[in-house]
Amino acid sequence: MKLRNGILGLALGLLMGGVSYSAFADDASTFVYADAGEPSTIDPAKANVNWEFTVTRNIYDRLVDFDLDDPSKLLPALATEWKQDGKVWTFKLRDGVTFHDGTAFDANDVKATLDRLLKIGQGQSYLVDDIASVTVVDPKTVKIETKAPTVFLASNLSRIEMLSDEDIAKHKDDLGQAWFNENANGTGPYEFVSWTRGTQIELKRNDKWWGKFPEKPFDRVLDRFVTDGANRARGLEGGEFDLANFVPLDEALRIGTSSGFHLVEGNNLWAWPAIYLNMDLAPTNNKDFREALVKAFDYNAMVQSFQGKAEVGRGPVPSWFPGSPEKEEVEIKTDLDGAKAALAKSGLANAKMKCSVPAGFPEFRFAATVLQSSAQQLGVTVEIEEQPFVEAITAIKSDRSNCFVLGNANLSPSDATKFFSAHYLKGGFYNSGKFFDQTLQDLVAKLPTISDAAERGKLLKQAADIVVNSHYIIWTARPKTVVPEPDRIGGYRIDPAEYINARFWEMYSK
Amino acid sequence: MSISTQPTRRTIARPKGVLLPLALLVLVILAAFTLLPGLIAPHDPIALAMADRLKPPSLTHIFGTDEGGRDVFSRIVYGTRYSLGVAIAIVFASALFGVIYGAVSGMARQGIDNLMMRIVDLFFGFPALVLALAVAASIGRGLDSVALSLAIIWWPGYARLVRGEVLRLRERPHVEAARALGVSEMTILRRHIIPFVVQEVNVRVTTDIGYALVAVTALSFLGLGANSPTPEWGLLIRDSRPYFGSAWWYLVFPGTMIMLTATAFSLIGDALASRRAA
Repeated sequence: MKLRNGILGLALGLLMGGVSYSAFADDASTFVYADAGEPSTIDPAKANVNWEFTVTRNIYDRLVDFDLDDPSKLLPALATEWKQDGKVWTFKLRDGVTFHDGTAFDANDVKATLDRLLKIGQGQSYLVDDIASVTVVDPKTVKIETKAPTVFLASNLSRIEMLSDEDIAKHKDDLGQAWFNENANGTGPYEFVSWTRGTQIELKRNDKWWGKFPEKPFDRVLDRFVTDGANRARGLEGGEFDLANFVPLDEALRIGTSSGFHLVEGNNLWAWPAIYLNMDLAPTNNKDFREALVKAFDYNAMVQSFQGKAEVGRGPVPSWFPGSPEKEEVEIKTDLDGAKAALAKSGLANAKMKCSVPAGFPEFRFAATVLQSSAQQLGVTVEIEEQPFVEAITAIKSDRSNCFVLGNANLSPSDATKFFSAHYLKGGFYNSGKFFDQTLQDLVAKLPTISDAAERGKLLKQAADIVVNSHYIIWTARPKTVVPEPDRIGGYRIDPAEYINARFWEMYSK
Repeated sequence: MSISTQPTRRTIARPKGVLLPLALLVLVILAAFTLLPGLIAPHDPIALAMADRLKPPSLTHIFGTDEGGRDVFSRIVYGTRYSLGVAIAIVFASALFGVIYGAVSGMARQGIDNLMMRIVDLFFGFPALVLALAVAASIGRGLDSVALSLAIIWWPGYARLVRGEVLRLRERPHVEAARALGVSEMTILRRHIIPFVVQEVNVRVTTDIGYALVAVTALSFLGLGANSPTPEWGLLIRDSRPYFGSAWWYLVFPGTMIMLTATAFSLIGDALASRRAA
């Protein structure tokens, strides 16, 4: 009877799964955050997903910050002044800053951090991969030379966390990767205390931080790993968590409008989901066929699935982004007649295609379902296969699938070229459908060198047009970030350059 | 893992009162869902209808709608042939193979019997569902891989059951008499052993369909079964989880169908077992 018991036990376990979190925030000075996953690393040189940034953004500081309401406006952080002269940027560093272990922060830390980041070449290094060299002028001055003049360096450095050169030197064998993967010593508002595998990371407030905390800040933060969205929602609603990452939208709207909660809404950089079409595999290697899919897609269905908290994008750069050409782009909308005409031109009536969808994201699955339903109106059959992320992206990269569903964004608050580098340029990790256009490559390389904003805007529009007219991507929707915040908590602001963020240093109990 | 190696000899009480008629009624309904889904389901189970997104139960949508505005009742009706169909296929395929394997083992010489039973033991050596998960994951996602992986863990139980029955029956007087009259072993097996074994197997098959259904839906729930938008019951439950707080009906009705179906098959199995014991 073990088989039967096993089946019943599994079924019961699945039903009861995730209700094992019983510890509530024990006092008003402890903040419990339900994060969507456990970090694979807390090394700022390698961190690349929200639940890793939860830790790195709060423990470390960056040279500059930016205004969340106007991302083109940079604010001082570890650097208090900066200027560009051609390929050379000079940063003046803040006095009196110390790491959590008591050592002083200076220009050597900046050099060691950037040198190490570029050597490792992972995580957010793509934001600053145009750096040629870093020179320490004096302990409070650092010069950074880029391969070509770039107006975006300071803006992109607002995402790069600064480490201690002593830590890097102490653990230099593997560039400190083993040590930084699970240890942290920053200058930031919170200090690393412990990492209980499978459960949580604990942080404590750094009362020697150079910045300013609000009144009644949280002295202790527990970053809990709660992988199931429904469980995060239940825990938030029940008071077990003070805030949660990636609460499913329906739950976020329901909880955020219920008694004791309010909704915080804001822009983000994401087209979510975006459907990438394989440029090398039939039938999606046919431009007219891709156009037919783009035109047939039911965008209203996606907006409705986001309960109206989304708009339909017109290109790769969101309309609110500094210098975005989106307002000048043609509206992308469902056009079934246009789709049928494009399909007829392609000569691919009754075609069949396969779509790989990373498992675990209801929005991705739904977008693929909408594509399937839309394509069916053209007589095109779309087979959907949900797979683990790596298998799904490998399927399209190795031409075993015609399409792949993912978000489409970048992490820079004002450098639009970063929308292109990972998704549309040759070798970009998320350029899963293998799009290539030499003109686009050249434009993206040239854009950062142009200091005139109007001229830059013109080139950016050309770049966006190339991607739009290729019909490589279906930008199904641009949802807003919607976060339910308990009324007992204050200070949460949405970082538009991250889908969901947690700036613990701005939050307080009421 | 083990399905009992001995024929059912325990006394099983026949389900009392209205339980058995209710179980039979559920079976009739399931049969209708499987054979005539187009006549029963009021809506298209696949087509999106966003205006009706996540609507609660009403006269138009008696089980409410899902995140695509699709009628949950219609999806359950159409999903019956996937969930129950695969469960039945698993149990029948396992039973067929297990009966042949067990009968051959029971009739074979001791050395061959030992070897065949050690192979069965190998399957019992792994935790059943872990083995099924591993097989399904290695074959790739899909209902066919779920069916194959569950059939692989299910047949050894039948093999052991049948082998035990064969060993018991082959010593019975009527078999000894047939053997003394020079009847061939194959004929003995076909005429004097298999008919008795089949009765035991029938009982087991009936109850196992319910368990197999739960196993199929569990694997689908874990992401190894059907792909969207197939209305398979386990997949419905998996898809419904993000909406449980705001759309309870989406999870509750498919879950209830699984429970009713498993219970119905279990009750009917008990009824068959009690009738056989009597």
